[in-house]
Amino acid sequence: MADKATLALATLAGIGLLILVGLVAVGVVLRYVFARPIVGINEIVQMVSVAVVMLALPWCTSQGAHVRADVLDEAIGPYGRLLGDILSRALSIAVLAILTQRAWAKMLDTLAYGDASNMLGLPIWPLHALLALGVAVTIPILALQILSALADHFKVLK
Amino acid sequence: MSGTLLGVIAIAGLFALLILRTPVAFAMLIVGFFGTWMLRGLNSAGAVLITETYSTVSNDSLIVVPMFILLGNVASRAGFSRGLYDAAYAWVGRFRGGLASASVLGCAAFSAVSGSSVATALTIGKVALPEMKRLGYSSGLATGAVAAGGTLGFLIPPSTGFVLYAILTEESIGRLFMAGILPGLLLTVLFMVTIWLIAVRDPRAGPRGEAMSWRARLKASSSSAPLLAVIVLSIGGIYAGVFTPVEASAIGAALVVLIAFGMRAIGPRGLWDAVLETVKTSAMLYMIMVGANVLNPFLAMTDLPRALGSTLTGFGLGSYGTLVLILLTYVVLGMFLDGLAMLVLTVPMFFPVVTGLGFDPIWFGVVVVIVIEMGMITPPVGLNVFVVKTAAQDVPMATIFRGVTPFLLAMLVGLALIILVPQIALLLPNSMFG
Repeated sequence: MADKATLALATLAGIGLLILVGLVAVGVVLRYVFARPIVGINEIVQMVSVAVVMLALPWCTSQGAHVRADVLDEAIGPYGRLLGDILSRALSIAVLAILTQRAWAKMLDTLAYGDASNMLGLPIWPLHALLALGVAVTIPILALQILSALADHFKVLK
Repeated sequence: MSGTLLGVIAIAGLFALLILRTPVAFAMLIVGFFGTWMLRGLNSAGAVLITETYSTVSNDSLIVVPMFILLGNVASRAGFSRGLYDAAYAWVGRFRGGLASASVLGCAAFSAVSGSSVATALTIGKVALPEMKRLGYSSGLATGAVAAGGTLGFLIPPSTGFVLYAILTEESIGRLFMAGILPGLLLTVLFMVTIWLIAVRDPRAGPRGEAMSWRARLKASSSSAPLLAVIVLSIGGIYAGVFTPVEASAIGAALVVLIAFGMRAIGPRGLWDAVLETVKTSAMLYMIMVGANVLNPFLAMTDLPRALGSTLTGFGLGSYGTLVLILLTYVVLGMFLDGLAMLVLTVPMFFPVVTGLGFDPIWFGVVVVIVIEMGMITPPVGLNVFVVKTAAQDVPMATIFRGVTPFLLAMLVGLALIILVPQIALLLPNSMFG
């Protein structure tokens, strides 16, 4: 279930990336061949970038793709590894929860004030919404990983 | 508690979290957030957290990261690395250790579409290692050449290391990309000389391959021509000032997708797998940048970088002595930390010290990237060595580490040359940007 949901979000991120590749490449061709650059392309890149990163974050987390320094894994033993897995994810959840709350508040602010990009006048609030969404979905992934670490640990002990 | 002391405690906490298997990005986020909370209160910590996260993920220059990763992933899945290796073999295979040299050349060429050492070593290793085994190459030379050649991925543009360095130091990505070209070629030549010396000393370690006619060489080269054209267009476009790095990455990625489809080297499924792999890696890299951008303002608040600078210069070693001390720190850290982690953790601390000593910031970026590359093939972490091990499972780790030792010496020679002659790194960016 969690895998399917994160994969669905990552799929949207992938589509966003392909759109960006196509858009910037076409923008170059339009500029050099037809002398008609795409106006405000940087703003579009900025906006889609947020979607690409934040929608891929839960998938990246659920796949365990974040870089770790694992050289001392053996040295800290099974209890050290369990402690680390729980502590690191619990602290990460705490920080991400505050980030979600801040992003949500920022979204409400930008929506209320009607903040928009300079050139194209695109609304800013969806970017904060995407940020809040990506981080919020990552929190239960980390919580599930804590449960999974506990289950694995006690299965090994049995 | 003084700010500096808090900074020292925070760094200790950071290392404790890393030892406890915390992902690098989250370790930096946690320490940066809670440290700022202790110094300035929860409100400021929350403000730094949201501001830095938003500004990082919406940074339009950083989009070169996913685009260049996509370029490398598609080229790899389409099997273009085989063409690069075959072309390199056609030209240098007849020399002593020719297959190993072809592996290094293949790595150098693939590095021009890939920003990652690991991806480069893995992609070329899969093609080159079975060939070298078939011709009876010594396992040490074969695996050492691929592991060392893979490190070029981090130096020859597009390099993920340079993008992160540029964002951390507010230097130009284009200038850094250009600065990596000549040092990358220098290391390529040094690696090939190393292979030749090994093969001269022990001809059984690296026998000659068959000599090829000019016609056969040109034929082999033609199979790699499309990818080489993409490399020349995208990297050459940055040098000529035709493209910004973002445009070059998009043009490169779009062309390689079109070529791969045109040659039926990849299908929709293969492309989609490459895209998913790309967004996953990109999210990981962006989160490292977010972590660094939350941690670094906190460290600046603690005054730790300034205190570190005073301590280092207080040893009275002079500018080059201090530089060597810093580089030795990298060598030690490289034994335990991943290259990207080391980059984002150390650059904000050492960059002000080094530029304060009068060294060029672009040149320092090249030096740091090379030292980090060395960490990728030194024990016990040596990420590239582990990657090569996956492609050569019958070779013991000790043999691979022994095999990379001569290449480490070659890197030291290259590093010394770049330190003594900074123009090796600065000639291209200065000729391009003035």
